[in-house]
Amino acid sequence: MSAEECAFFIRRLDHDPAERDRLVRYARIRAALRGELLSPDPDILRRRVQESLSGVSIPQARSAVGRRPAVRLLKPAMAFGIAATVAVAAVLTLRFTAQGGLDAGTPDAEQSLQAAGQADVPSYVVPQDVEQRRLVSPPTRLANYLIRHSEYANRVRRTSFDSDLVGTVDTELAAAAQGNNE
Amino acid sequence: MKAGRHRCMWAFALLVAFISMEAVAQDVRSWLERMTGAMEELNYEGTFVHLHSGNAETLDITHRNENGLVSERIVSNDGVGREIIRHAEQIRCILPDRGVILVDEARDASPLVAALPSYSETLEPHYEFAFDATDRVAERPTQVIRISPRDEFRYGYRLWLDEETAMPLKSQLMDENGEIIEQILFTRFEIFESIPADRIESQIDTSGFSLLATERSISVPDDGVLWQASMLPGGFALSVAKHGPLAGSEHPVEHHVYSDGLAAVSVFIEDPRAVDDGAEGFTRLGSTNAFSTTVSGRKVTAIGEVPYKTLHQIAISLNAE
Repeated sequence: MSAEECAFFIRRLDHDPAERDRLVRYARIRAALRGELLSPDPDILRRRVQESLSGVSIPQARSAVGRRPAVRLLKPAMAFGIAATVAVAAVLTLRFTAQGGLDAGTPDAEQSLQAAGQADVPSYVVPQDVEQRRLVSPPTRLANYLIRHSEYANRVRRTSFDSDLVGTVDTELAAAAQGNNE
Repeated sequence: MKAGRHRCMWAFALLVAFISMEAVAQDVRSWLERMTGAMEELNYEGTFVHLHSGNAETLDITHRNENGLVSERIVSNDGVGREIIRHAEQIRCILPDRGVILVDEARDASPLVAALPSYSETLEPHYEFAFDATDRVAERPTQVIRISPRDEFRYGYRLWLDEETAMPLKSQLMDENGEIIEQILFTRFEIFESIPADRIESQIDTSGFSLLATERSISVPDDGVLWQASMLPGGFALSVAKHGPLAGSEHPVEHHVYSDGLAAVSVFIEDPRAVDDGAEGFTRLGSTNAFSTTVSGRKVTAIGEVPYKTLHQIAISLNAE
């Protein structure tokens, strides 16, 4: 990222609480996955992960009633501190990635940056292998191809193809088949 | 004198080794020919487990041979119980979860149109055949046969063949690194003198199902375009070339099959209007790989039980003349 883009990103984090909260959630999930928050209290970690995944606040076991005002102000202050820390870390990471990790001029780098900018919906799915994400023709067409191909394949392989057809093809196949028929 | 005797002994040893290797290869090929015959000619029922990509599925198979007319039914015991039924002239794939039946024509049996892979000596430059130890599968003694590829353009196999019938009771498909990518394992296998015809019929009430069948009414004009693959991997050759309709497609499809005698790759060349979207690239359907691209304005999809690089090489080498 260029210096202007970094400045814009920081300004956006300052003025967009939703974006800031999203960054905090991602940071917590990353920390949980790396086992960085396993101490001192695992219940705190569990509650934070639940909050992050559901996006809503989970009632705490201990009530805050009776706390002093200074203690009540402590939590928002800590949250803001965490958000600021995460924002700085994210900016530094992105800058490093743009300058060293990837050649910004390559298509891969451009696609990665575009994808980062287009990630409007929060996703907690661990990315799969790139090769598996490549796509091909619609499932119905593949099934038709497979049926036709199996007729000309090795006899042992035909049983395998048939097993693929009746056992593996996901529901998209049938859905697409129905869609085509309609 | 002594040196001459040594040379004779070496030559004799080499000759014996060559003859024994050739005998093993011939013996393995004989087993494989028996296997192909058994899979077509026997009447049998069984249950097998299909393992691939971390998934395990249980399926029932019923195979019937009545006076040379072969029919077969495979039913998935998992999920909603999809079925595929093969008759002499038709293949039906029933998807009860969506109320759809895919129907396609069976292979044209004419030797002028179709050539199935066979186990001939032409495989030798590309595969190594060997016997492994004996084993037991589904309570039956088996002979294990290993077929190893000699290059990275094809997969390897291990087959557990029933000693009595040569029926494959277990099989493994291995990638170019020797990793197992698929297994089929029979847990029940029974041979019968005959099997009633109704055992092949579907037990699913298909009334109201949508039929997605090959449109015979489609006119198939000969566009005069000759498609050829200019850069086939070693051993692969064109074995089938057809031009006609395909189930669910409004446009005729060019279908080529390239085989090395054991593995087969189908290439489908279609009018891009017949394809729903512009998606291209690699994908996998169970243990089968597929690659889609555009060549000379036509949608080309290669599919087969071979590594991606083989599909890619065949697809991109296609030329229209």
